[in-house]
Amino acid sequence: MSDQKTLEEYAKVCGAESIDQLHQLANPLKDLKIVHVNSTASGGGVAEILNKFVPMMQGLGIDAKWFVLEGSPDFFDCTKAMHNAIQGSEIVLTSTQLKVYEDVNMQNGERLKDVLECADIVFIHDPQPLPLIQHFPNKKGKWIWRCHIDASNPFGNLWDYLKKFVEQYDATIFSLAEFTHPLSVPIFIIAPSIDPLAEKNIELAENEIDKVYELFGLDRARPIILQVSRFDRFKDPVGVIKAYRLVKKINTDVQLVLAGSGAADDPEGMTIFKEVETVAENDPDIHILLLPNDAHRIINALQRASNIVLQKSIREGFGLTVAEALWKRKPVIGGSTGGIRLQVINGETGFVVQTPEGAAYRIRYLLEHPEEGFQMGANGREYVRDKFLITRQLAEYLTLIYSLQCTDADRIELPV
Amino acid sequence: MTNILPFYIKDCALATIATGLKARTLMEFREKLSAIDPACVYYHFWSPRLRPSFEHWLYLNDFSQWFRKSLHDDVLAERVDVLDPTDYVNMEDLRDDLLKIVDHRLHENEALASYQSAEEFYFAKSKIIIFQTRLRFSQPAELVHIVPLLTLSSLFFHFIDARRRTSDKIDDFSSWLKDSFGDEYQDLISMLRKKDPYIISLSDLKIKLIKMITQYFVKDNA
Repeated sequence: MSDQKTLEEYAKVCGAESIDQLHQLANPLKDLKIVHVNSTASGGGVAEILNKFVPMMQGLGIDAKWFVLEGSPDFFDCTKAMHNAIQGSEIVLTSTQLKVYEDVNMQNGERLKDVLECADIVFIHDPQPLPLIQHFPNKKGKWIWRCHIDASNPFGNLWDYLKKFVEQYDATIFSLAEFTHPLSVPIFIIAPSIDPLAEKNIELAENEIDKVYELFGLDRARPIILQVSRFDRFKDPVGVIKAYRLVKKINTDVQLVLAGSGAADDPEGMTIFKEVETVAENDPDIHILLLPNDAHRIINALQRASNIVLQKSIREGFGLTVAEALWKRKPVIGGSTGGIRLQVINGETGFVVQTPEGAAYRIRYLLEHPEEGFQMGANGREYVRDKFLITRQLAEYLTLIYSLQCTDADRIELPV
Repeated sequence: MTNILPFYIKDCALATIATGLKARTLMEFREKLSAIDPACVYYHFWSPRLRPSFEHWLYLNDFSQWFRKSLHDDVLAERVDVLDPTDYVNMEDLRDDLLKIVDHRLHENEALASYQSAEEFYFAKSKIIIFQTRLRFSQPAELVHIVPLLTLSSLFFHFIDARRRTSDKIDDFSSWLKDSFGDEYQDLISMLRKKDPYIISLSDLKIKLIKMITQYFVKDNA
């Protein structure tokens, strides 16, 4: 799909006025070179969004590029541990690991020197490429560190270590104010978004949805509860199974699907997957699916085939799987953490819960009151359309660029 | 009649900036509020209008929402709900009145000073980015076709933000009608000025404006 075609397609789903707004915001930026850097080309929300973000920027006439960090398995082991420690896990990174972390960034700094040194705007996504900036003392443009995860309670002294890199940037972006720390540089708040035209979210024909019942041995006549997430302790897959078992005592028909994929920068996923399989004890109504990274249409079909979607995380960056489910008109039961609280509005788009017991109660409630679940799903669809689509996020990125160009002014009027 | 200048429809976007300041108790809130950038006061009173919400009728601003949902103090929330930012010329005065209400409540209920709220309040501010759209018009009757095309953020700019910019603290449409046509559209200006942008959502405001302007010009033509 061409870049311009992309924008026309978005106008059909997101509204023509939102694309008009993007053009108006982008026009004065057409001469800028904008570069995104992250750590993986596939798997995980950041890669998914950049896969569309960059062509959309190009469609708006902006010279946008995207580069992926090249790293060794040791590097990704380190950054996965760092990812978990930033979110509170009791993990201490060794000096050897941190040396690998910094060395890989130094090597990538050399590799990307030409493109990054002359870029007008550089967005560095998440902690993996964070130290890149120290290799660009002569950078021309503004550098922005985009933190996609909850950094509010990092373990030990990790934040002090990372802060020395963060404060070299011109600005930072966090998904929620709750995820931030006081910094000497501006902190912008931009919620992430979903892509309504991605294979994961696009409308599907009924026969494609029907296929997943057969593919995974699901009984279409019985209710399906689904959680889609990486196999990660913070997503609490064991808590989801506990909730399912509490429901199963009353509603013996219920089926549970735990579906997730691995990511290139997540070596821990397989360990958790095996733990979850053990806890499931071969229950024929628990379906644990380890799907390829590109199984987007299958995930889409599973969400559409489900009655209720869970996202019972105990720590969450933002939890875009919630917006994905709401977009498909499904009520969502979510853990009371991070961005889930912005998306699951109690009694309006689903229910916020603290415990497996709470999740079990709300599952039972929605199974007994399907009409309320239907209304919540309808509410959720419109809520996501207004608040969590990619066009809104892109507009906020463009807005941020203007803010950085006029740091002193509270009001910035763009030239006509 | 003075020169009739075309009305150029503008739109806006807010860039939200965290201050890094937060409060868990009412006393902490009071201390931080007294020292924050006045832009934070504007942000927490007005930016909720730009956010889609199921609860806009329940919480008029971020402060009263936190008082009610996290501090569980309906008394304080109700008193702050009554504060109407359209009454204030500058945000420092609004902050002063907010502080008086908080101080009065702390005097009434000393336990509130140290009550640990379930969720912290995070102070933020914003920059407003303004840009011109392709819409413009020169005759008041064209409003019938223009208003349905307005985005909610455009409505925010011309109807809410305008009250900070115009000398009479009125919306941009009223200001333009007055400057371009004198008293000719005084009754329409009066109707526009009666619309309360603080108490209703922008989507409801748009519906009401469409109805009002359509009725006005249909009647005018009849």
